[in-house]
Amino acid sequence: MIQLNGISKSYLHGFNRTFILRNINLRVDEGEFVSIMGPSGSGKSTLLHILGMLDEPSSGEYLFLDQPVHRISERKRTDLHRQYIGFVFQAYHLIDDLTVYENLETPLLYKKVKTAQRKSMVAEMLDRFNMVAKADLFPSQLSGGQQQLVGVARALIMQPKLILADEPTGNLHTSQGEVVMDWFRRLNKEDGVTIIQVTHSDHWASYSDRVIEIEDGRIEKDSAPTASPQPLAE
Amino acid sequence: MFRNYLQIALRTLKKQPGYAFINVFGLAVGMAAFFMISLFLSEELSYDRHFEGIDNVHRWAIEGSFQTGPVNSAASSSGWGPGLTENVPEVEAVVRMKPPNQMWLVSKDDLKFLEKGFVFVDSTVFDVFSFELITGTEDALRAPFSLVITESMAGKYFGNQDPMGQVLRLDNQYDFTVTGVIRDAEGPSHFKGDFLASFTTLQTPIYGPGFLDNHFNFAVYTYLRLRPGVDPDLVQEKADAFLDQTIGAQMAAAGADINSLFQPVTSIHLQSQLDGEILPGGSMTTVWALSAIALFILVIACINYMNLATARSAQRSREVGIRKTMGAERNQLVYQFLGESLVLSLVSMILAVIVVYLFLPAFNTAAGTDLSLLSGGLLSAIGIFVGIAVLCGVAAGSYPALFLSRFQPATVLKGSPVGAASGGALRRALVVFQFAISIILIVATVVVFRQLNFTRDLDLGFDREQVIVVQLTDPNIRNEYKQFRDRVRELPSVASVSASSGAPGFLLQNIPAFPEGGSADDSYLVQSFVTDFDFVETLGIDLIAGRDLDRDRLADTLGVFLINETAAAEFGWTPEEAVNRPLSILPGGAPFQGQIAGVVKDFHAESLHDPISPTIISIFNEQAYFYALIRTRAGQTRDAIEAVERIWSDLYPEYIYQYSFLEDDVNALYASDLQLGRLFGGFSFLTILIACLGLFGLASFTAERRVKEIGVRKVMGANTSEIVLLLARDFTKFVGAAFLVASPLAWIGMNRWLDSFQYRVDFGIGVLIVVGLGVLFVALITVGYQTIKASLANPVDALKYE
Repeated sequence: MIQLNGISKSYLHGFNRTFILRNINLRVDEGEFVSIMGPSGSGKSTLLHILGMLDEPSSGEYLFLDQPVHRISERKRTDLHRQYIGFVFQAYHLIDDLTVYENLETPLLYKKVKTAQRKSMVAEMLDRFNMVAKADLFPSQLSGGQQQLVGVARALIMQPKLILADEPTGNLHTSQGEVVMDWFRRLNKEDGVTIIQVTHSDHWASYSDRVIEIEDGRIEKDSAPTASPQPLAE
Repeated sequence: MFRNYLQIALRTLKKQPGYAFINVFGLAVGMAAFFMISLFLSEELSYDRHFEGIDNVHRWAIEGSFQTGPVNSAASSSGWGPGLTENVPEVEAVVRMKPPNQMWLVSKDDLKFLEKGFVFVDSTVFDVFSFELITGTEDALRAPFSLVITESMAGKYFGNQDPMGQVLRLDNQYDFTVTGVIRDAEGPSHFKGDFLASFTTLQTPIYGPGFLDNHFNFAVYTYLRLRPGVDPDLVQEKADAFLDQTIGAQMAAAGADINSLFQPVTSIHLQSQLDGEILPGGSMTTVWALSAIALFILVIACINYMNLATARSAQRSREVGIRKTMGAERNQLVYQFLGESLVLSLVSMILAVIVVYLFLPAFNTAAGTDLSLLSGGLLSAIGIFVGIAVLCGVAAGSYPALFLSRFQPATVLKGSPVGAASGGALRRALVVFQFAISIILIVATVVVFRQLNFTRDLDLGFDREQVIVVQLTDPNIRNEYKQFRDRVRELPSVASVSASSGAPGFLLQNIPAFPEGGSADDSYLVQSFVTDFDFVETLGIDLIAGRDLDRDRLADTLGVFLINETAAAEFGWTPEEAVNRPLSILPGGAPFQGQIAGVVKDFHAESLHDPISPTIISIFNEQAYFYALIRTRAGQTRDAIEAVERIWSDLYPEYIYQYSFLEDDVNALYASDLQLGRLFGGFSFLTILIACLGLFGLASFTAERRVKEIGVRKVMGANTSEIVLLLARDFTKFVGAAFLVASPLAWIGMNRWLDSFQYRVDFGIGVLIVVGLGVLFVALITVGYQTIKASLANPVDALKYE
């Protein structure tokens, strides 16, 4: 699904070039659940942004479903991203001025989904996440865990093939975090959604099948998680 | 999608009522001002344009000179029009018009009104001005004493009766038969044509014998309709040739040289400022100044929106990032932000309609107009409002839309402070621009009012207070003048009585004069006051040499003159030398010789826009006295007015008593200046109000943005006053920069305006500095609240945040 060949990202600082990513080669297949780990500033978020087409690499090739992302037009890239990729953020990043319902609806609006279909898709998602009663609340009226669930639901509503999550549990209590991670694992196993998450913690990494460790912009290690996987809550 | 945007827009407004208020209120006031000004301008610009094919109609005026004085007159002579058309095929039709000298008394039985709109016109009037006849034919004005009236006049005099064939009496002696009714004019016009009387009537010597084909009377207005495509300059040349041929010799003999001046009728109201205009015209200066103000107010309100929207970008940037990660394209975000500003401007528009409704009466008072919300028609009102709303929405929204939609999600979602700092330069420039405009408008207002005060307080050379001017509109009234005067003089409330052919503030007459031994080659154009005795005393004019005219000297009733200082100087004499010198004048056809009895101090009979003319004062018979001048005793003006009215109704039961105060008549000379001043004052107040609203909003965002900096500074030991200074310094710089931009523009512009006065105030750098400091003061007060609030905040809270 994803193939990175020699991806680098750098900024010019005066006369010095600062590298954030150096020569990243990575392949992720459909249906994988990958964690990216590393210390602060190691470049993991940048890598995630490049994967999500929110940022562009300075050099290298990026193939997404065999399409050369580094060479196609912005519009086409937006199309790819709309169709296949959902995002979940550490800070949830819901739109404060919209209700839960409207937040879920927004990606569908951009995808130009018809009204009737949009309504049923939002209703289904609310149902699935047990949030029907909260549909008319604003994000500020929800707890962090609930907000993040809205964030996950919003990412899912586009029925993406790939979910990119930037420390999705970083702002949550452990119990709330587990609810979110359970959802990820269920989506991965039952719906075959590919998930790539950035995390600091071995505990959260243990939910995934594969852990990539980054340091100083380089991939240091690519292996199975060290901690034992959590049992799937039913 | 649209609903989503609308909801965001409305929720943003609701969540930030302060921000919403500043924008909505500012825009609404700006739009309302723009609308009122555009109503005013469209009225001013529409003069005479309701006549069909008016572009081909020109007024035949004259320009030229007597030997020393220039002559620019809107009037022509009655013999010219018919004479020209005989020989010039390019002229399709010609009409002569004789409006009343003052007003005509029109009566039907007991209904009596003084009418300004009673004009004599040729029967060809319908070929030149497209009056629409409801009843009657285009021949309606052929026979003497026929009359065509407007619908509203028909209603006024005849109610529901059929006016055709009915009789209206003019001046208690001439009976006119109504032969036609025209529709009321659809728009304003440079003349008032409520009653069109046949020109052939004037063969009866209402204005003297031989009036119809007199070549020298300069008493009518001649309008020519040229054939389509004809060059007016060409016809003007032919008109000049015609004048040369018919009156050239006599003019040359009198030392005069005049040429034709063709004026497009549509230009008369705003651009023509000749002697003897039928009605006071508008002012192009006012039109330009108001157009600029209308635009500026709207721009300033839009700038507020742009500034506040971009200042808030730090808050909006996250939303942009989220929407982009959810698949929004940039142009979709552009539409969203444009949509928001459109919603805002539409809300403002609704408020603006209310503002116009509430404030139009005040505007009418200031501008001396009679406009209503719908005076331009319902459709055009809706059109203008929606037009401004859309224009403002797009103009104000486009920059923030492009600016905000540019954010990269990867950057803004990481939480780096994008946007807060960027766009600052433009924002600063826009604030400087707003304040520059405000300073210019305030300086303009101050200067206009200083000049008006100067005008009011200036010693005009006569005492304008406590003088009543009674109009002697009719020969029959003037016949009884001596009786009237003697009875008024007996009144205990009256100090002195005189009469004159002209009075300050009213139409004055110029005649050629020849000082001692003068010939035709040595003529001077002088302003002539033909007066009764006691003129100098009644007006309080100072005598500086010689003696006043004396009713006890028989010789003084004819051929003895007073002149003013300027006349003496022009004739080359000191005031003392002038006394007892011979002087000839040419009041009508024949020269008339007399002697100078005294010299009076210069007095301003005309507006201070004009220089003092050489003036002579002489006695003649009562038929020359159009105005009785009555000086009342202090505090007894009311009594005098009533007592004079009793005498009037006793002597002239047939006529209407009409009086004014000399002071008002003099002030009326500055009506258009006063109008300009009032409008400038009102709108510059609004401008600075809107600019300050914007500044207030901006200051609160700046303070918010700098909360952390302020916290750090306080931890480092800065005290509150130092912090206030720090924040105030920025805004002081804005006002300083605005001052530097505005000063030279205001200086140049207002000096040019002042130069249109012959007598003007000095416009020193002091005014600029005072206004600059005033604006700075207002700006600091505006930002002061936010600043002090920010500097008093507990630094711990500020640093915990983030």
